[in-house]
Amino acid sequence: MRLRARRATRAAARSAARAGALALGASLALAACEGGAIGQSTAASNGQSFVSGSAGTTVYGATSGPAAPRVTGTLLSGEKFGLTQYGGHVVVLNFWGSWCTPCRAEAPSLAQLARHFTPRGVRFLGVDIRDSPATAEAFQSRFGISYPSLNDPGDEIALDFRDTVPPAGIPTTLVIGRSGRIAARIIGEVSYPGLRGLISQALAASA
Amino acid sequence: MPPVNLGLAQLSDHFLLATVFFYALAVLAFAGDFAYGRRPAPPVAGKQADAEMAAERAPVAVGAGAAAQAAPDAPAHLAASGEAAKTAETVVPGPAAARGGGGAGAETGVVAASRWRAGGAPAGPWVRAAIALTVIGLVTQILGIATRGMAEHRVPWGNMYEFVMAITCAAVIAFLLLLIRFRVYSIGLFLMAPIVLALGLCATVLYTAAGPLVPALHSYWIWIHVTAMTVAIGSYIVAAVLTVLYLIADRHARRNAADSQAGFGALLHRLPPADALDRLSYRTVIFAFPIWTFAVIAGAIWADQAWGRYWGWDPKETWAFITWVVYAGYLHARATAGWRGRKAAYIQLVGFASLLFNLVGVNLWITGLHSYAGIN
Amino acid sequence: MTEVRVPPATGHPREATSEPDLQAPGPVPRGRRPAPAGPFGILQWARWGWRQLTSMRTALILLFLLALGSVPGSVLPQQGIDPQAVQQYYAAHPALAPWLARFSLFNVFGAPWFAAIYLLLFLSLAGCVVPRTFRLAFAARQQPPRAPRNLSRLPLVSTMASPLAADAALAASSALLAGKRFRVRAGDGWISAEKGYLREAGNLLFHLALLALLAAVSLGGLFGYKANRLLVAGQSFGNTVTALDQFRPGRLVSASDLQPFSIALDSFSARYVPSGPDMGQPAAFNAYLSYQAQPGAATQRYDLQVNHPLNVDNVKVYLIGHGYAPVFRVADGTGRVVFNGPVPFIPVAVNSLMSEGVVKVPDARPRQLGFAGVFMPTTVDVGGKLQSAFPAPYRPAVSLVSFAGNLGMNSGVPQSVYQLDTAGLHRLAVPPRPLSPGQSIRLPNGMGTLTFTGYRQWISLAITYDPGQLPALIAAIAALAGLLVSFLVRRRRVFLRAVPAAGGGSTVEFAGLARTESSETFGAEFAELSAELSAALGAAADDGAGERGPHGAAPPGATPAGQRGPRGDVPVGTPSGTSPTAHADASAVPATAPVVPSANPAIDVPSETDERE
Repeated sequence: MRLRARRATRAAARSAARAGALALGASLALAACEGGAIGQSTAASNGQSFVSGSAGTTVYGATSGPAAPRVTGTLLSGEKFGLTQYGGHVVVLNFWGSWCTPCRAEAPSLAQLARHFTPRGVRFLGVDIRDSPATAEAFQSRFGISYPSLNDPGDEIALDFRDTVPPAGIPTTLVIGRSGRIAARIIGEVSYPGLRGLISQALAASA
Repeated sequence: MPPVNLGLAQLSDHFLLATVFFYALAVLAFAGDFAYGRRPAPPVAGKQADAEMAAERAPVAVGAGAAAQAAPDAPAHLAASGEAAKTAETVVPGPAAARGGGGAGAETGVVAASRWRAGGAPAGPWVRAAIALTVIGLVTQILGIATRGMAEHRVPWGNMYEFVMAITCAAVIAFLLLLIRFRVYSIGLFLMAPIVLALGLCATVLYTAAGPLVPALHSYWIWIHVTAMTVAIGSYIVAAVLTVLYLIADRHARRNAADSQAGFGALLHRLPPADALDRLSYRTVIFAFPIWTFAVIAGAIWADQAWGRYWGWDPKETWAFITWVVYAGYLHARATAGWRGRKAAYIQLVGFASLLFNLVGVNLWITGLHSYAGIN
Repeated sequence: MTEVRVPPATGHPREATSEPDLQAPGPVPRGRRPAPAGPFGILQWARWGWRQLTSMRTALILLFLLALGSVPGSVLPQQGIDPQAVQQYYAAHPALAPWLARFSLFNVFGAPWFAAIYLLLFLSLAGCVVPRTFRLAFAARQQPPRAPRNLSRLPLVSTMASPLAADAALAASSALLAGKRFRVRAGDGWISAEKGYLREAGNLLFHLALLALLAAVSLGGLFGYKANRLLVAGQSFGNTVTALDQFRPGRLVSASDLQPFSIALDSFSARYVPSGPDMGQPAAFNAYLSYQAQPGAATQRYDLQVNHPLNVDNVKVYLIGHGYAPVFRVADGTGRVVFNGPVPFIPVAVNSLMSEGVVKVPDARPRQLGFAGVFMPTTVDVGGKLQSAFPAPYRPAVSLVSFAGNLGMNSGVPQSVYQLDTAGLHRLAVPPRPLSPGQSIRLPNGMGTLTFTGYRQWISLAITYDPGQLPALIAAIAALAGLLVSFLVRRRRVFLRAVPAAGGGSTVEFAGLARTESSETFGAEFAELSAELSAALGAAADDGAGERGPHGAAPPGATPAGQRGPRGDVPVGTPSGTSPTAHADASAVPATAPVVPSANPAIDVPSETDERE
């Protein structure tokens, strides 16, 4: 009797072991096939000196998205500024740099959207990365960007967003609703109609 | 870093030449032992050669007790214990032979190893001279390595010239340890000859002047990682020589079962039996494999400190991995029915080939993070 | 008494050996399982496949495939290590390269076929090792096997006559063996003892540790990341995706998983060998950093050097390069300063740190401006050509070519910051002249002015996060430990039988068997045990049938004459050796039996033979 029980236990243990081995193998296969495990497949460096991120738009909803963090910093002009000064408004936050080619490509769209929506109560704010103030101001005057930008040489503002909706590349544009919740994030060059639609949605959502 | 002490560097070069000289003389002495040294007594007439071979491997080391107790019809010569020590190399047909225990011969390499361990081969004058020359050569080699290190104010293995010096030194030390434990004098010729060749290459083609280390090698890990590699490679060299001898002996035994004493067989007769060679080689690999494993791990830790990742499939890392895998395959093959013996021996030689490629080919022909050959 | 028993042929389907027990015996069937009648069902195919996969032969083949598959990964340039070399290979072998790429030969270690090899290998290993682990766990308290009936068939036997009664002799022996940490099992007139279970445990530890190593590597690959960042002295950065120059995340890493530290480069100093044959070689680098592990945490300082990475929040930051960043100020045609800052130049000559770079001024009016040139830390004029003689900035100068036009940056297509796309640019006619710090170029036609205001140094950092690194190290060390244990520990068994002898006392027969290959040392151990046993049993001096010679007084290592061991580590020529043993045939059944003991059911699984009793 005991022998049979022991044999049964062993048989069960064996099949458990086999199942475990198969599961282990499957999970490792997953890791390996997707290029993460042993084969370190790395992207070739093309010297572009920034990570473009995987482009795409993620919509969170102006009432349900994560709350934007407290953002404070120094404007390019030297004044101190905090995002709370825009409290109650829809805010479009754009991470950019004058050296970043997609940022230059989207700058006209942003400038035009700013001109269009600022009278309607939307506030635009830029976060300038790895630029000297002189270079940044030349960029702004070149593209007719009228809204201010925070100078963020140490990436503090980007770090502030790490727990919520981090900028996963340059450029990144966040649309923040009236209640301070992040409504949408666009990674990569924005398109005029796309961003316009998101801003309108945020405006239309109740505070 | 203080400048290289040229006087000591030159002294080191002189020591290298002396080493080559003494090792070459040792090779000649070993060869002399082969040619002129004591031969084993002629086989007992009337026995089948394989039975006789089997009997040769019968427990001669057992001491007189068993021999005296041997079956009455067994030839009783050399049963007297006093003689056994001196004549253990002679054929002692034990009871097994009397009963034609051919099957007994199959797996008695173990026996043979113990026989050899038990002071099998006598150390004739040629052998004694050869060993003395080897030891002197080893001393000069160690002095050469040490003076080189002192001249450069750093660890004396930083380029291929120094590394080959170090591994040949390790191989000779391993050989001497084998001699002490197993007294396999007759393999001396076959091990020292390639070492002399390697050192000759060292002195000519591989030679680089004493100089400082490449900055990336400035770490205490060079003591750990490279030293372990040196010891492991030296041992693998000895194992490879043993395996080659085993393959030759085994092939000859298979082909000439009936007439094992003729021609080449007489030469081979001076060597330990094939099984003993195989077993010795295996034990050497058993010794070297954990050291190689440790060396790879130490290298990975060092790589993480220096290059930011512990494994990056650098060519040298890859070939160290390949070598490890093939030697692991050898150990597995040795434990698998149908793969023991010649197949496993071939696997070990493949592993040794990959080791040589790792040592030479990767340094000379493939560029990577590990290119410290110092040769252009 | 002098019977010769050749061990019966093994009926075991897979011949297990006495060698290091790497062989997977699998579930041990008694005799062969008959092939199932009729066509094979799925289940039977699966079982057959599993058995094939976990066999030693498959493991051997997979090991070789693994080694063979690694070879192209070392001789062909690999994308992940040196992408430029891959490009060069394409250029050199335009017909062959695409075919090689089809088989992933430029990314061997990430290739699906390579993954298949090692995954199958580890599956085979797991399927073999895990059941054996369970078996070992169950067997942890298993008793040694029963003593075989005929101890004389074992390779090492010694006989002694003891004045003690049989039971007392067995009890004394049992106590002695137990004192030597043997696992003892007593039976009717016999004792069986075994030692060296650790060997299997070490073996299994080694293989399981390899599995753990693979898991740790996968862990790093899934959750780890690598990144690069170039940092000019005086700048700082935070560990976010926007701040990194390159970012190679693991499969399951997202932007919010990055540890939020920030690092500032306060200053950088480099020392070079000033003279001699190694002039210009770097002697030391020191990057003085200030860092914070999180925003708002205390600022700490660190002196970052090669081989001395910074460890912040489990992320390692390595110093992997350095160079010069000349500082330029560009005023455009309208007089506004449109550019003011350092521009990292990339070294092209290692010994002299002559560096190349470009300056792009896309927002200059009226036309975009671009400059390309070299920076020389110690400028010398060699036959009319400007070169750098030494990597330290003893006489820095910059020499630039000026362009105006369309830099091509507004279209959104990514550009290298170190290269100028001159397709839309035209070169300006500026007299070529190297600039020392403070000097300027005045561009023609009122395009603007460039001033070389000074220089700074930059470092490049490699940021690595690998959560599997420490587990991998632990697994590797465990593997090494298991390997050593499995090589050093030998498994051996001893058996004792005591029969009452005429005239009181008993005849005790003591036999030993080494299950694994290490004959000589076991022989010595057996001899010692024999001597101690005879002392414990008070075995008397020689008498008629098969006792040994003088015991106890025998010099260490000398053979009790009653012992013969074909594998024994016995010195030849023991002078005392005329006393016979009772078992001369043992030498006639030499090591065939013991060398493959587990293949010999009669000895190794005595329960089968002893059931006859």
